[in-house]
Amino acid sequence: MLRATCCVLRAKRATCYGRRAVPRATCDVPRAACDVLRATCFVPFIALVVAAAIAVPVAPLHSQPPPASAAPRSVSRIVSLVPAVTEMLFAVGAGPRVVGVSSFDRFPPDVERLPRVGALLDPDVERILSLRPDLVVVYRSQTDVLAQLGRAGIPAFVYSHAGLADVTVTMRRLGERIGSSTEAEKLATEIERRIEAVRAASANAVRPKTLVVFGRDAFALRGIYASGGSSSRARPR
Amino acid sequence: MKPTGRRLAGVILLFGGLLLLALVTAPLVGSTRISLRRAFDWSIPITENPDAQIFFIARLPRTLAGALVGSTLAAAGVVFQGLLRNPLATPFTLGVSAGAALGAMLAVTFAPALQWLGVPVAPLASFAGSLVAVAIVYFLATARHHGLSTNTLLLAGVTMNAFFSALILFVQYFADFAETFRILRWLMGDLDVSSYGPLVATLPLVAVSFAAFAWLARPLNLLSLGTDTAETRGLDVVRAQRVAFVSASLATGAAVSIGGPVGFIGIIVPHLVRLMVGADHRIVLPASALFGAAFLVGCDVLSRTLMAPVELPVGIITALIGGPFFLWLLIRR
Repeated sequence: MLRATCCVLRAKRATCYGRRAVPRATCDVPRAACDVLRATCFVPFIALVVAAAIAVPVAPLHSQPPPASAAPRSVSRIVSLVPAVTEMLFAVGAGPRVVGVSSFDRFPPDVERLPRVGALLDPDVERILSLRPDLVVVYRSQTDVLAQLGRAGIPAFVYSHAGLADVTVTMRRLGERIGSSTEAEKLATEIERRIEAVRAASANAVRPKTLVVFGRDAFALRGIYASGGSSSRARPR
Repeated sequence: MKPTGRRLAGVILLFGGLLLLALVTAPLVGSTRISLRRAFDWSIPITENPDAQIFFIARLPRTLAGALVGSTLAAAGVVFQGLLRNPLATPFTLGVSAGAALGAMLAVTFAPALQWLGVPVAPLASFAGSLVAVAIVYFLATARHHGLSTNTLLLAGVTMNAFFSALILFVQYFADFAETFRILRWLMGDLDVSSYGPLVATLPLVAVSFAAFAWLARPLNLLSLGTDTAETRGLDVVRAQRVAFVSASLATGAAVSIGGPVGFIGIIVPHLVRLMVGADHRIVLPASALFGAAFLVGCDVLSRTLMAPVELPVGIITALIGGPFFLWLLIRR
């Protein structure tokens, strides 16, 4: 295919420098035009790539049945790759239903006894499948795991983090998905109440000029975040 | 050339047997135990059959990916070493991997969850990146010379590698930790493909490249005598070099889009194979393809099982085995 295309171009290219011992001085085609012509030799490859890319979804091996998605079956075996969601699961009382957690899960202490199945970048799909989950909590960017779970017919709960306000949204969505709406609603309302209480309490307080301190290990600096900047233990370093 | 034919048959039998052994054992090993009888029990639907799920969804695509990537990189390594007449050449010397890495990184940074027709965008972006790198290097090497200057090719490739690496570092500097770590993980090589789709998609490319490699065996033998001698023996040197460069680059781009730039396969396997079967490209090329496949499948088994459930990137294993070997090779010369 490359040769065919290049042959078409050869007549013009022959008058260009280099190819057929025509001195550059006698080249009547502008150099830029030559370069463009030369670049077109790669068009067949790009076409090949596009064709291959289009062939993928058509490939028979790829046409698997779609995952049984939002069907509200009862959820009894949950694998969580997201520590934040693991914590929510335990908080809404679904802890006994969690059968596997990520390598980074430390809290609540109950997770110590659970099997580890990798994390964001290195999920062990084999281990996840072997736990026979009926719901797997994954990050939005874990498209490979999502595809593999889809082919195994295992539903997934997709987590995406979007800041403080998103915590209670995720919690309610999770509660609904696993059939613990009441507990999740109660907990979410409580969190919102407490955040609101902090806001109300600090609404009229004097706002100190805040120094942003970059540090990794100073536990003493933690006071700044919690108490609004008045910790006497925090010193600039 | 009957002796060559007989030796070729022997070598293919030996290395083919090795590959077959690797392909059969690899899906049987993993971080969990499965029952083979249940895995092949077709009466149970796959959604109800975890053994079959583990075998066909988690293990088999990986093994096949390892074979495809390993054979492609090893064979491309032989071709690049023959083309550049340089034992240190690898499939990544000419900027293919850096271009692919840049493409993958741009996809990871700016569109991590984007899918195109159901395919994650990163492999496509990495393949596009490698094509861009190849096109630039090819253009540079042909711009001012009759035919293809291998010296310019080498220098342009090395420079493109550095340039793309700088671009990668530049984008990484402004990316967040998770993205940086993700691209680092990609650079270490990862054969965990999500489906057979990418394999099927790259198969035509790899098949075309291997057909070109088969034709290239004799020209590469002649080229090893030097371009002038090869020309006096009736070889169209420029055409052979062009075919070698384009086919090997395409094959490398395809392999990298599947498994990332898995290091050292492209350099140690050709040298290992040459130590065993001699320097004749008619034998080295098929032997490297087979042995590269077996070697990478074996390394992937180690990466999945050595520290389970932690999965070591396969590129670390190949480089850990490949590094000392390569040093030994350097001292030996």
